[in-house]
Amino acid sequence: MKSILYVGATLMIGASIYGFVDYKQTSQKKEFTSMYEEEKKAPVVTGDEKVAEPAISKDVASRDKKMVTKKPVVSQQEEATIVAVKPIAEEDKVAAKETKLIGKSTVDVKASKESNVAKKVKKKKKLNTRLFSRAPLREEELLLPEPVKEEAKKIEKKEQ
Amino acid sequence: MITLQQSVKVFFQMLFWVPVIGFSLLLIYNTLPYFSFSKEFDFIEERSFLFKSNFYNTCFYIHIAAGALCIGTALIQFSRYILKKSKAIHRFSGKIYVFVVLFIGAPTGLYMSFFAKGSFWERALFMFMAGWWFVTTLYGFTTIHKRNVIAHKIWMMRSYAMAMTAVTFRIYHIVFYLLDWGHLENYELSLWISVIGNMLFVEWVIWRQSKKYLKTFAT
Repeated sequence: MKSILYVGATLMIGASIYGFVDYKQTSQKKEFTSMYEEEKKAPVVTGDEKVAEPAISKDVASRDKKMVTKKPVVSQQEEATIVAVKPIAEEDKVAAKETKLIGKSTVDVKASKESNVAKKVKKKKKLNTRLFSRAPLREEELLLPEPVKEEAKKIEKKEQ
Repeated sequence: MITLQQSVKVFFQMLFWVPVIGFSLLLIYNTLPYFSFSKEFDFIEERSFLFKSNFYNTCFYIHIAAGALCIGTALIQFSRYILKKSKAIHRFSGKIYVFVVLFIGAPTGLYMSFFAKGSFWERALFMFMAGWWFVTTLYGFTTIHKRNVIAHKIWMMRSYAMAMTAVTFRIYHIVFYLLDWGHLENYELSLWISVIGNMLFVEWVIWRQSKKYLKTFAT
């Protein structure tokens, strides 16, 4: 009878001491302190909010293409006229030798034509057996693609 | 011939025990998938940092197995029918309950309480729960060894109330979730209400049954 008490008490004391020591060690780690923080920051999104996903235009994909500038072939007559031209500065020369980027340097961010406009909608709360699990109960959101407006389609056809 | 008073009593007992049994079985049912040892559960993903520790990992699986076993065995402990028919069943499942709580459930729960979600007070509450669960179960066991059946019954009711906080917590959590409460405040409030609510409820039941309530705390 007493042995049960002693074993149980030892286990409880051991668990509390080891738990405290382990907690002291892990509480200093950033991963532990930020483990539950995400939930506090989670925004509450209403059904009216619309989120436009940025669609990067295809032009951007080609911006990294590089082309080496060709040296122009100059005849002797032209060379004479060129001499009269103001000499190019050293800085400009260096720049001219370097490769040039072709295409737009700016990135166009557009709302895509088809289904990129999405609507965040709160998922309907349904009672099911899964709710009774240990999993944290949070708002689930569905990203529903907004149907393409007919007017937009017509404009596209005209443009084509 | 059953009188009206008896039938009303049976009705209220059913009103209490049917949801208790139903939710307890649901809790056990929802615990079983964890033994696939997959890490793709929201609960585990949320605490992925803690689950890197082998000790915490082991404690978690032992604790949920112990909890399911406790709730499962406790369901038949309060049945007068089983107690009258066969005391051996009551004794056997009672020994399992006591062993699991004292040596497995409460110590692992106490260790895990240090890393529980919530503020310092929620962690302290979990520690209190583990401690009180251990003490009440131990008293329940020692009293029956002294052949004090009434005290045994009272202390085991207190122990069961602590075990059932896992069930009542989920009920409150779902109710507040359906009422659009924020996750963390829902979690904290559900936890406090389940622990204090269960304790108050069981004390109310004991107070109703016993003539000298305060003496029930003496073993």
